[in-house]
Amino acid sequence: MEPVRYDDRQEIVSLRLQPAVSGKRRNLKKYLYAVLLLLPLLLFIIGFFVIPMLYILYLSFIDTEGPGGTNATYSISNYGRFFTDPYYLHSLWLTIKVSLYTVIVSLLLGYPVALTMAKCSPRVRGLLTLLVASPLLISIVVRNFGWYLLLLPNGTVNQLLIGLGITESPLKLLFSEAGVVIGLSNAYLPFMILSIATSLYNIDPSLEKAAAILGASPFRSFISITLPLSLPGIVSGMVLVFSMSMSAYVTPALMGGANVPVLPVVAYDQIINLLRWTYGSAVSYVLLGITLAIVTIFTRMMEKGRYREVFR
Amino acid sequence: MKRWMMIGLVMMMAALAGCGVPNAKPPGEAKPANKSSDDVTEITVAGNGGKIERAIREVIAPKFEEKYGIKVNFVPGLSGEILSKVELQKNAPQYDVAMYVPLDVQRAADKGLAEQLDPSAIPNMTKVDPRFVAVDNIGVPVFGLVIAPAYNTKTFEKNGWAPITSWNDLIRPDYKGKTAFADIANDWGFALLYNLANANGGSLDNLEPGLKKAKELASYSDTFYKNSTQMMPAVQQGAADVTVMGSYAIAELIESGVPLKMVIPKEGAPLQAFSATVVKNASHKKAAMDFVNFLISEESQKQIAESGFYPVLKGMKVVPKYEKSIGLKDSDPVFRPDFKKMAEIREQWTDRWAKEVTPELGKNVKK
Repeated sequence: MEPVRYDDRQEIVSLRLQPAVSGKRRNLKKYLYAVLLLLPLLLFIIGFFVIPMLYILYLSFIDTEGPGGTNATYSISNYGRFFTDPYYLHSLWLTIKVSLYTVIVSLLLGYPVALTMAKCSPRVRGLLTLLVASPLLISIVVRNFGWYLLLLPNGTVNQLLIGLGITESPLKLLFSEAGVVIGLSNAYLPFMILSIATSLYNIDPSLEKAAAILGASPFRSFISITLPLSLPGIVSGMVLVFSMSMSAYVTPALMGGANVPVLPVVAYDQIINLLRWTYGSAVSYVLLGITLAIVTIFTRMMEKGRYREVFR
Repeated sequence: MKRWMMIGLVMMMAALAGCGVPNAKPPGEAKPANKSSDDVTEITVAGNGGKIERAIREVIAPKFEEKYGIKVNFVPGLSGEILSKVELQKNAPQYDVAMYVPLDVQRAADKGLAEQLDPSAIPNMTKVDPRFVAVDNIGVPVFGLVIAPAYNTKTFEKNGWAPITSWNDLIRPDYKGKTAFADIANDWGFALLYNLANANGGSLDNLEPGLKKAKELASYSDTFYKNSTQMMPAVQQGAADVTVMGSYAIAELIESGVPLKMVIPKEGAPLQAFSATVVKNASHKKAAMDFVNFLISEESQKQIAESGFYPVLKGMKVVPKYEKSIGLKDSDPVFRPDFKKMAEIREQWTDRWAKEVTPELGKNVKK
């Protein structure tokens, strides 16, 4: 009995081994293709992104002013200065605040749109996708100038609000955090909508039917089924919008004027107007570090939280 | 794992988007390798966008090419941006001629980023009005201007406000925040600061009175403009009745039909010029100097005056169509500021402005 069994096992093992070996070879080939296909992009990213970023990192540790100084000394004094000066800490807080507001506004405005896109016929969906993405076709500078004209104290929006009797005097929509949040939400809303919509498309419609058969109201089934299952889309949309808002320069400069000195604007001023490359570089890296930290902690929390199942 | 890669990719994209802005220009401006001036076919000139770009690209460069057979590549940018690029490219200059605001001419001189110039190579230098010169033998003035207050005469008449005659008249609660002043990083903003100091017993050596007044000014203003090009639509749309700008911008607004009046305040207004420098160790030094010389030829200066700048040659006047809007009388108290001093103190006062003046913005604006 036993030898037979043994042989059987042998056979099974060898049967399994055979495809495994050739599979490995195929995998290797696949990797080679992948590397070759990625090579141009990799070279591009290394040349135009990684190397400049490393150079900026190097600059941020130089004590003396200006790049290429002959007697440069190195220390973390630029970072020390950032974290001990209330002005820069306030600017950091402002950047985070504006980005969070932008995430909230675009989530609230974007979710219903994404839901509509998921529920409607494919033809309407295609049309909606085009509409949602259409703002991306226009340069951000042009869009911001449009908003700027609309939001001026004597601009269309304020005239409308006053005409309707909603306010007596013009609201301070420009040169305020509100103005920056309006501009940023407008710019990044498509990213939020599209990423939520993608996760909504993947929800099995029979789940909702089952809920309805079991007597759940539409609201109940939204709360218990649709919303949790769309969490991956919500999270990636939030991460996307948050990190883009943190690094936005054009919109805060145009819509916030001097009133909203967010970190990218501060870094730009340090480098371009004061020629303090070293300190500006440190500011950029603080911004990068904080953004990475917040995003990491947030996604970790979501993935380990109550709805961790949906992230698998 | 997939999620992490996705997030990593997203972060990278976001960072790329963020980094892209200040360094929009690709570093590899096409450039022939030859160094001898005899067979130079093109030079690269960096200067302010907008009016200056238009004047050079459309009028001066074609004529220069016709005369010398050298093509001019114009790279537009803000003065500060150009200076920081020139500094970064110190060891391998990409530009031959860099045009700056006077303060940046001084900074370029201090950092050794500009060639010494002299009349043997640039004969027209001898004809230049010295009041426009920022740094002797380094920067050659090309586009003359004053930085001065201007106000909307229609609104002023309607409200019965007294005309502006002093820098201190810029500070009035009546304006209800309808002002357009540039942030300190901009030349117009810095001029506002030191002229407020001048008007209140201070000077470039003591800007304290100016800073004190600027706080008051900020409290009656909605914002300081980070981007000075945004100030023109603000004035044009009637969102601002009071401003401080370069005379060429005021001239353009008046030409477009805005009822604006430029004022040379009784305390004086700074006269200056966008100036051309030859970048240190530029690849085409001789051609660059020829171009600078051509910029201040009588022929070019006539064209430059046509676009609303003061010609910088002795005895030349603003063209008739701008005489009424920005013409200067001999009695007008214009002065040449001490740019050397300004370059020394700029950093310190920029910091103080951001920390002390900006937070006051809009505090006393009553709509």
